[in-house]
Amino acid sequence: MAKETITGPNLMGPITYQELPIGCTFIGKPPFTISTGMWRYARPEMRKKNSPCTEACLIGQDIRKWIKFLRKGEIDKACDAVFEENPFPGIVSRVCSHPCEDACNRKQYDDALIVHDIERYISDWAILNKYKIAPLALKDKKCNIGIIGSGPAGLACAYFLCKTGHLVTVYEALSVTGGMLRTGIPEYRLPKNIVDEEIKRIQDMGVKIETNIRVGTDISFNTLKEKHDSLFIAQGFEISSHLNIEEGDFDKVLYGLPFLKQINSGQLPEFSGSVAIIGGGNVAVDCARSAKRINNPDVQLFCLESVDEIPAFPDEISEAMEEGIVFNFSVAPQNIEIANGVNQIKFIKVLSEKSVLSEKSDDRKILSFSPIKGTEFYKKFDYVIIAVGQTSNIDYLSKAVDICGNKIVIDDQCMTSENGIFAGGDIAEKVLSVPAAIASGKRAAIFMDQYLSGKKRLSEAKPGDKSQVMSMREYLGNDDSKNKPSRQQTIEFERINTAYFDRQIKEKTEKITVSERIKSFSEVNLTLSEKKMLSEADRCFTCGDCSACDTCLIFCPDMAINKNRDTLNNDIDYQFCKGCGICVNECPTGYIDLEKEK
Amino acid sequence: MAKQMMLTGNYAAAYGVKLADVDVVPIYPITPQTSIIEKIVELIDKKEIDAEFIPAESEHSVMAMAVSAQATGARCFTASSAQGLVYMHENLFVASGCRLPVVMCMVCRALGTPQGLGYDFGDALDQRDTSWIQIYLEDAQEILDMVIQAYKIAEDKKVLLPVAIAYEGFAISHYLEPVTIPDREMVKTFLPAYTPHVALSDVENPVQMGYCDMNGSLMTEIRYQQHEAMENAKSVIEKVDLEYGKIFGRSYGGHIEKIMMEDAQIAILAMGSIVSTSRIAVTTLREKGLKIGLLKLRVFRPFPWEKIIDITKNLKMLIVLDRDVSIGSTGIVYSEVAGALYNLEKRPLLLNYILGLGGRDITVEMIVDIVSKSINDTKNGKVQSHVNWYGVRGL
Repeated sequence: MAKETITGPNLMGPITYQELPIGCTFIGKPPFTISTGMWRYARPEMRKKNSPCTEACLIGQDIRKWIKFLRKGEIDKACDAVFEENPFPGIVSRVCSHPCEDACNRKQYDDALIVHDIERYISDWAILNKYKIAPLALKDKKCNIGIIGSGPAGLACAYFLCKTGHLVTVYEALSVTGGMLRTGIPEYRLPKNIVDEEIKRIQDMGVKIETNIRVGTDISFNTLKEKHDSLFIAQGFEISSHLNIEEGDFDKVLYGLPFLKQINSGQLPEFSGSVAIIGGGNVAVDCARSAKRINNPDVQLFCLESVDEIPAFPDEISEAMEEGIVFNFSVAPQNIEIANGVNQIKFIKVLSEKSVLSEKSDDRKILSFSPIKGTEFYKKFDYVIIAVGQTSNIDYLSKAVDICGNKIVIDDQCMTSENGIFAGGDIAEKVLSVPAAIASGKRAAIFMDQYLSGKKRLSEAKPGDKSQVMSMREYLGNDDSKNKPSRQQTIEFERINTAYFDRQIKEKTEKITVSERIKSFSEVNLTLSEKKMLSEADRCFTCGDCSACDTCLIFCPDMAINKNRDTLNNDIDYQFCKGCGICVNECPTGYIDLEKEK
Repeated sequence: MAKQMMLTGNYAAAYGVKLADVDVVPIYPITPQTSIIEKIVELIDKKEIDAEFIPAESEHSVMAMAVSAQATGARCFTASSAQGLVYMHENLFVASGCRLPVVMCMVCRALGTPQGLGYDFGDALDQRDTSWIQIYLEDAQEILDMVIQAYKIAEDKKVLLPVAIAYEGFAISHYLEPVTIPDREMVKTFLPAYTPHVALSDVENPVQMGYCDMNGSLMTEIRYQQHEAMENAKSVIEKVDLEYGKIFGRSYGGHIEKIMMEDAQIAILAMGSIVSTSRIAVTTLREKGLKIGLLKLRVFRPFPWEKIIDITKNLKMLIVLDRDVSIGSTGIVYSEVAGALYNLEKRPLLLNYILGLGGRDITVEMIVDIVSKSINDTKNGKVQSHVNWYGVRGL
């Protein structure tokens, strides 16, 4: 065993040359220990931080985590990671505007990762391999929850509540499930078999969906209240808004939602000649592209917004333009009339003005449009489709909960004016996309579970303060709580040590050719091959998390970073770390911070 | 069985390393020592030597590796010259401070600038303060024998200082000579395995080597220990030389070899290849009737001042030939000899000749000329010119 005390004389005293051990040698442990850690004034700390993709994601997905599993070849674990936060990856990957990609740090280096294609690959795998989700048996007391509407908000809420152990029944007015997923978004963008598979998966989990039940008609709201411990209203907007202008012959003037619903049910209307689409949102672009696919008419879209302001997703607009749809920006329709048996629309050019309103901490720019006198012009079209917005009819709820205009009033925890009744999705919040609806459903599920457990109400906990995203994995305590991502810190590009990454442009999503596209409603985008998916996954910087590259271990001049044999993490030995900061500087992912020594 | 081979000085050193059963050889090439390490690596490859060789990135690292390996209990060897030797200068102090018995061949070459490959003792003598034992050799046989003896001297428990075997590059290192290679088993009985007094690899007895002495409270004592070791080395060197002579039949006279000194009145003192040339010069001069002798100074550190006093005190004149110079002062060997003789009541007239720098050839005629010049100089019984630069064009 090692000697604990020094042998021989005390070197600190007046020792003679005969007594002094030769060769400047101490045998045994010296009486004092000077270790390099003693004079440290700065200290490296290994701390997981938020990645910008997760912060930007409306659903709060841990994208970094799935990519880590994919790179290790563990696609099943990647799949588990996806389903922690997102019940519908197949749907979301096809219809999301992917803000994660705009935020990706790699964008500032070469190209952003094509995250949505990676998510799609995982979802395709899940469908192919019949991936199943098991509800967690967490609850001693299972509550009985009723959800109105089987759109993305309602189904997401159902998924999360079922996952936390409750019994859920979803009431759907139509004979088909999915809401806008089924009746709104066209097949070439979101194939219905994907919707079928993903909804079936949550039904297999235990969620009951009862179709052909319209609340207020087939069953009263009060009946539902009595039947269930808590309700979530997510019936959405199913009515197209009208324009405040003169409309001519009703046969040839169609509205966005009914038009899309008809196409999605398999009935294609007759088109020939030319079609005008009024509107600048995704519904308008969906209508335009759908119309184009029916006998290839001449399709033109007219919107109030300028090219920078148009609210439809950029990917949709560019694909629409490729397909030959002409976009006319900054115009307003003034009236539609029949002239010589043909629809004629009078347009005027408009100027858009922005006024900035501060609401809570949101900077919301409201656009107002003023017509420019003398710029009127006429255009002839065979058909007109009006897609200028959606709305609801919630008269049947007017006595049950507080309503403001076409929306239900909810507080910051998704609860309506009635205790135990929650609402979300289009009907209660400003929801601009499918992932936003899913996020709304998730948020409500968390607050509902809280309410039903009788726990103290959660304060508004957000992973990033920018949006009201809530994380299921944090709520359930699944997130590696010893290394919780610091909520305040998201890794910026400057923290990434790009010397460790070779430049590599992104893989391109494969699409079918334009001529093929406009002939049918076949899906436009194709799934990446495994090789391309892995090549993309390899480009991930792993912002703010350890990527197990061992660079810190190799560089440490004091050999003070060592692999922990149990956890396989690299641990810093603070007895010897002198705080030089080389590991902080070299770490490719910005995982290590340098702080003042306490 | 002893066998004879034609070997250069460098190859003889390599065979010495083979016989000494060395464990670790950190290496870095530099002319004129490269063929030592090339031969060693060749012998390792042929499995004639069982050792690790480590190609380092510089001589500084070579000595660092030698020190570290020696500290764990391995017997180490390395070689260097000129610029490389000076590059490892810092670590030479570490080796001697830690009292590690490393053995190194210093194959002497003139220090640049001006850069050159010619031989003189400037590089080896420049290391005289590093607390290494320094022995200067004359031929290949002596090199082989001294490499073996060096380990015995260095590893002696009363010594424990590193040893440098120094000889001139090209003149000795590259000269083919017949060399007797002693029998391996006999060398094993003469030189047993290295048993360190402490070793870093002994995990049962943890050791810290080379600690700091921040306020100088131990420096004097440590240095005195090294001084004492050097003093002990004086007798150990003699003892080992005699023992080697008894077993292998070759003895070299210890610190100083005396040639034709019995009734000498004048003597020449030199190191290395000058001695070979001087042997002929002195024989020639003896034939002419001059009572002249030759002293081959072998051990420069520890400087054998007692021996020098003893040998030279009754001489009339002593000529020190320096194949080196300390600019701003005199030849280095001369200054050491002068220091040794200073306190004698009766001492010889002392002259210094600086010559052969950068490998410039020293001939028998030159030495004869130097002797006659010296005699001329001291006609009045006094030395007119103590320090003389010989053969400078323009002087």
